[in-house]
Amino acid sequence: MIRRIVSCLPLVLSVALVGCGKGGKKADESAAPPAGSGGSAAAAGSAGGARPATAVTLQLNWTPEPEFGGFYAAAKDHLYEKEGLDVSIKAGGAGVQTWKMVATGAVPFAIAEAGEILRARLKDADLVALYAVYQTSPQALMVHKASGVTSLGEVFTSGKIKRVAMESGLPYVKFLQKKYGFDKVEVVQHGGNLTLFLNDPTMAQQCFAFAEPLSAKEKGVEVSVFSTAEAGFNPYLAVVITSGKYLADHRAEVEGFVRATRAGWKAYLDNAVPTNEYLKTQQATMTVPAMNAAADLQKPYVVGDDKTGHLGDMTGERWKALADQLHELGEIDQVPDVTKAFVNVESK
Amino acid sequence: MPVHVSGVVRRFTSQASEPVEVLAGIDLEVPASQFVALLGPSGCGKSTLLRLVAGLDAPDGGAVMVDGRPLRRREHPEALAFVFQEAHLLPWRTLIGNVILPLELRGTPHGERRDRALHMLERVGLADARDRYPAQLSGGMQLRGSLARALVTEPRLLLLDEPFAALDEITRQRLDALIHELWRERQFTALFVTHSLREAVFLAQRAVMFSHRPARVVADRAIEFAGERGAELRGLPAYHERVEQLYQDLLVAEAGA
Amino acid sequence: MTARRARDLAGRLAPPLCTAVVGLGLWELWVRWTDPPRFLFCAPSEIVRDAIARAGELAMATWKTTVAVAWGFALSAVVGVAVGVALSSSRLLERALYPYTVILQTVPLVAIAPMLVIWLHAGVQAVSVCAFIVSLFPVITNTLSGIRSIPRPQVELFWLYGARPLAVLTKLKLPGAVPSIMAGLRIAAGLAVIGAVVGEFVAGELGADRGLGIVVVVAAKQGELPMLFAAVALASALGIAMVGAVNAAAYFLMYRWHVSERPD
Repeated sequence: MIRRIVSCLPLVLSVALVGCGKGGKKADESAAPPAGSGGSAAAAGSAGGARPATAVTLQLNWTPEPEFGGFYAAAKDHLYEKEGLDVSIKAGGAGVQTWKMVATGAVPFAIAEAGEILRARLKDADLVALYAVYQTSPQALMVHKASGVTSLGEVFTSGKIKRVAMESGLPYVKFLQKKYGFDKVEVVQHGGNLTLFLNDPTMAQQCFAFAEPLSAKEKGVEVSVFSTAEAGFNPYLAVVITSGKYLADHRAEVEGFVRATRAGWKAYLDNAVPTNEYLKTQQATMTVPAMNAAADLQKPYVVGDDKTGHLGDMTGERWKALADQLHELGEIDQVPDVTKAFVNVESK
Repeated sequence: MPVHVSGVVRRFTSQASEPVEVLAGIDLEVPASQFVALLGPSGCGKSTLLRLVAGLDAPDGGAVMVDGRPLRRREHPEALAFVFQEAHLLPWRTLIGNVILPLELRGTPHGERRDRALHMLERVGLADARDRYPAQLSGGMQLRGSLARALVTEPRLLLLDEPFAALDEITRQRLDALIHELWRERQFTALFVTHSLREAVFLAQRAVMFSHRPARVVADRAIEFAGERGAELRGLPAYHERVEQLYQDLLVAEAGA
Repeated sequence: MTARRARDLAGRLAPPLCTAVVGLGLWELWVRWTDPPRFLFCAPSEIVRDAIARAGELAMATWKTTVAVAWGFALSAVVGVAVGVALSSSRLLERALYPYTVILQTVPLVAIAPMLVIWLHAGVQAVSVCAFIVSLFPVITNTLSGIRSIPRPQVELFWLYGARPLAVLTKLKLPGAVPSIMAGLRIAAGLAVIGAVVGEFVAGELGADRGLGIVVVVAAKQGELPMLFAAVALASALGIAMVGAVNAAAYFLMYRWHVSERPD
């Protein structure tokens, strides 16, 4: 009987992790613009003429935040509708395995990290990256300023920090382990909220450089933030993925989605405030002022060094560099052909 | 050890109905060393009376005195032993372990314990089985073990509640003979509840017959035989007369109340 | 071991082994035939291959989980029997406290476990408590019912000889309740493993001290199915070993006198 129960775990686990988020809201929000229901929106000038809008889902890998601001902006400003798409944005949380949902065909679009994508592709998951929100990885660790820690290395080696909360299974965790070693700290699961961190000055917390630190400040805790990109690990983050099959069968929809997303991000970079207010109605956990501040702080991570033609485009060099790094870390056992892993649909 | 029961009343309440009076004023004087059989129709309260004398229950009216002292609620006289309907040997102890138990509980000096237990087992003919567990003993052997346990503390008052009811005739007679021998040796007072008139006549010097509930004493007869009671007793006409007499008493008891 | 016992043992082990071999064989053939994506299905041979390749890691994780299970189980055995004994001593106490032990049974572990991390160290401490919480209830109920089912005449026997409460506890209540307690411990053993693994999902340590629960979570995230299955199989084996240990203890305690331990 034990065997039966325990061997159901992977099934239960997959269902649990795919179906619902652990920490964040169990949001089933649809971000379809208020005026929209498929038919009438389509009639209002869709790129595909009089065709009804295709309903698609974008599955996020975290709760609604400025990290996804451009998508919500596109939804709010009817940019997806103009491309003939009726987009539902579904919130995620800690432990939601977005890449699996795309690979099994459960959803057409989702957000994932570049490291996850390469790893999954090597496991025969048919994923293709389309658009990278963060050209520079904002992945970071934050500590209480009062702890006196002054660098990322010190977090792990100085002994001032007793506990580090990270999300298990993310590639950057292994990077940090290899670089600094985890012998002096207790590494615990990232619970999806900041309660533990706020009350414990000997703790370090996984975060995005411009998001959680602001929340902490709002709650009265000043923090120091240390970026993993600066430490040498800089994958694309918040990457839109689709499956190879979906791309082949619905090329037009995919191009439309990327176009609208790009336009949405442009709008969000210009003026994030109205979208942040909209985000609040979609059960964002940050306050609007915090989101406004975060949206501002995140701009350099989003725009990057703009070597590429368009916002959100990716380069083969970056993907290859990441693949090599992951291979060296032992995260993947062979270096794949990265050109198949991504496509810039609007490249010139 | 003499027993004095006066005016004892006992009622039992059950959930649905009115309280049932089981003992309606029992008076009984038992001098020391007397062997008394308590008889009567099924369910009339013989066992209840026995339990009152043991201190396992308390009367609703009247008093029980043992060895000249009144028995207070839940008080158990030291020199008393009880033999239950089933042997109830503790399954996780060997036979000798079971017989030693009362000595352990009473705080008998360590050195004495095993010898006394072994002696008792020899007396009941079970010395060879002393290291066996109750599950490995037959019903008769378990009852003999229970007897050994009861007698190991040298009680002055022995209460027996139909202990041999489940045995076959031959084993029963053997055990009756054993009890008789032990009683002759030690001269404890005995109150013996039984349904078997033959057994009562064989063992007891006195038979008290109770009526249907609410129970009263309807007959109290002396049972005397010339000479010692041995196996041949059961062949004598005097024996059968006594049995017949008790049978008549029983009919009266059944009919009455 | 006599020839007869050897034959008995073979007769008992052969059927389930054959089922396992046939089952695994069919699974292997199916995977090779259909060649599904590796993040969705894997073959038994891959599980074995990866388990051997990462045997050190898996052994360490199994050890870590075992330590937490052992602590949690030991705690629930001691506390469970103690509470069961306490509840048996007074009907009032039983009525006052028993409902709360039932609540203990029904509270979802994944909700409590994060709170445990706040008060305790993540890793063995918190995970042991998870194992303890999940496995406590059957020990309490079985101890209580075991004591209550001691035949009344045996209890009266002890009263009649003026036994002190300690003697009643050690010479009657506990030995009398042993079969029931063993049954409760058997259940608790399996539950302790489940409690530990699930507790690790949320409250486990991620670093070198990770237990099987974290191996499962990380392998699921990475799509490493063979590792996931290997970790799950090891957790099952741990559960079987725990139950086997309780069975062995029960045998030694009861084989001489209890009907349940007699050979058929």
